[in-house]
Amino acid sequence: MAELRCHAVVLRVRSLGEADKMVTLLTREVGIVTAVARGSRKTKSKFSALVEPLTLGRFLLHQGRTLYTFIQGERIKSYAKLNSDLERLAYAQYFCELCERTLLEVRPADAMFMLLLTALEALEQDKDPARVARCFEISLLDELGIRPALEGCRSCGSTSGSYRFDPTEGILLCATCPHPVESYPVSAPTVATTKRLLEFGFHKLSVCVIPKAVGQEIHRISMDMLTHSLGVTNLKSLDFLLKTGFI
Amino acid sequence: MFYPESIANLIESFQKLPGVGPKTAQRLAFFVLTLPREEVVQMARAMVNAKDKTRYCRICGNFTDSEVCTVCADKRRDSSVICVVQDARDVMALERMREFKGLYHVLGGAISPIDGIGPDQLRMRELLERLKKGRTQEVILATNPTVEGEATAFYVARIVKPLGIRVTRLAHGLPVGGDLEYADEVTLSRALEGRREL
Ligand SMILES: [Zn+2]
Ligand SMILES: [Zn+2]
Repeated sequence: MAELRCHAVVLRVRSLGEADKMVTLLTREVGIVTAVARGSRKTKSKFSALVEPLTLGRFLLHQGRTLYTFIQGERIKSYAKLNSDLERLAYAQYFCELCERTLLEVRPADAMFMLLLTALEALEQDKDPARVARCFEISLLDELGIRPALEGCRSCGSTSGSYRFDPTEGILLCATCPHPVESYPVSAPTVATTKRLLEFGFHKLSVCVIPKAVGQEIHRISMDMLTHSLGVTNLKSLDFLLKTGFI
Repeated sequence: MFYPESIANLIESFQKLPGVGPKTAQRLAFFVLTLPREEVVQMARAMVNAKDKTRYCRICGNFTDSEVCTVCADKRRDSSVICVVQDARDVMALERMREFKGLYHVLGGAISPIDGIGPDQLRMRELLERLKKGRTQEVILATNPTVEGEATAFYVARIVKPLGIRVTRLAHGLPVGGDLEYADEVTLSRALEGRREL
């Protein structure tokens, strides 16, 4: 009988049958795992509070042929208090959905795990949730090894003037160099802020002011990179954020 | 397995029911074959009838087989209190206790960003329209004690409070008949938060 002891964040919970839940976890030990919590929809179940979204815990799972099953667990912290603010909750779940969709291999995921925890901590504290989201997006690109190259025009080396971003290559091109149809203009503050986020991440994020227009450009760059490099599209939480006007 | 087509179809139909696997479906199908014909017809009619006649109450969104549900139609109910729930089945659960005399409002789900469900997908506008008619003095939030249910409660509270209506939330406590030492930390801390004077 194979067992998995793991530290994990509950990313997503779905109802399964009458009384069970299907839980998607980001584990530090093996990345994304889907596990069944038997009986957890019943109010007296010992699992019901443990397998709520945005819970950080230690879990013991049994590895079956196709699925994992919860044996026991212990809650370390819940980020569920974010649910008093719809924007923060939506961003928290957006981070979760991004982890779920971009982490595709079964392997230790220390860095991604820490990134998600750092972002959730920041969401609880930062007065600007959108800023936390932009930092998470850019840090995620870095973590996935698809960091955009922002040191001047890739074609001629020019480091001044206005740039276009080419999401197919993840590079900048200057206005005078030939550029593909997919490319679009990005402002100097966007390039500068993205470089700052790549260099410092969440460190001293509170002094980094990101105007909404810059934030929207950074978001576009990140999503385009994820779409082109990893085929990530149709994120439900992102639809939610766009529909509610948070992005 | 080699069943005649008619039986195979029946087994397949039963398998669509929640919690019914192939073996149970087989057992149910063979049980149906042993019943008198009238009973089978009655059973089939009951299903079709319920499906055809069941609608959602125009006012509260509860199950009904007429325009307005039995709760909304009952003049003795206290129209100054509205209890907001996620699902019409929650109305049934609350009605079983026979203590609540107010009215209901069924949202038809809970806010869940990761599933793309926002306030617009729920019967939120209908709730506001009801409240603006001015008879309501208290809104009781009885959404589930889950991340989504709580988020929905916070959201409803935020839009209802400016109307000058009292907003309360169902208490989260310890399950009756359970041992304190087996309660999880979340339930315990909620129960402590919601303690009251004796
Ligand atoms: Zn150039
Ligand atoms: Zn009704």
